[in-house]
Amino acid sequence: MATTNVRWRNSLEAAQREAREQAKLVLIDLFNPG
Amino acid sequence: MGAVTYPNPEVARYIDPHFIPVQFNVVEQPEVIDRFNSAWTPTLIVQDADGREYRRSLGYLDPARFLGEMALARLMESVHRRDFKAASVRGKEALERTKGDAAREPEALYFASVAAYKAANDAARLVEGWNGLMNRFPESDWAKKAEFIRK
Repeated sequence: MATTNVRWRNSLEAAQREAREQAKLVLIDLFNPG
Repeated sequence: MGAVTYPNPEVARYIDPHFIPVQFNVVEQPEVIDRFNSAWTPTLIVQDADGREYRRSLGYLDPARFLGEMALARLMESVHRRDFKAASVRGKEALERTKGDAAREPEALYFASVAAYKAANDAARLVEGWNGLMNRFPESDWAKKAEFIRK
């Protein structure tokens, strides 16, 4: 089933590990909730 | 971005197979401003797993422009990796994703032409692509960068 929600991570290091394992790029989003 | 762009199903479907997304709230974690050298939000950065940066965008992007940015990021990653076969495929995708986006389509044309040239080792592909760029977007910065081939 296709993913319909973005599953955000909160650790760059964990994201890099996943990216390496899955041959993906890391998308970093800096946001201000205000 | 959180209200319109990320809830867009096409955006979510595009992120999942290509990117590991990580998000930082600059109010809760102000140290990320220095860590990523950006004092404006939203800031989007695309890196590889080793932290090499391929694309950075400041300011809001609607879903169509976001998808164009991400397609350009993937194209630039393969160009810098000198995987021109992949870049050629991603160049075509970037052209589709940036169609009608005057800020991004010229850049996609520029680098899709580079990728096609390098993948085929045929300079005629570069000339053809860049001539198309200069004809369609003559005032764009990317057309100006290609102009030297006419001299």
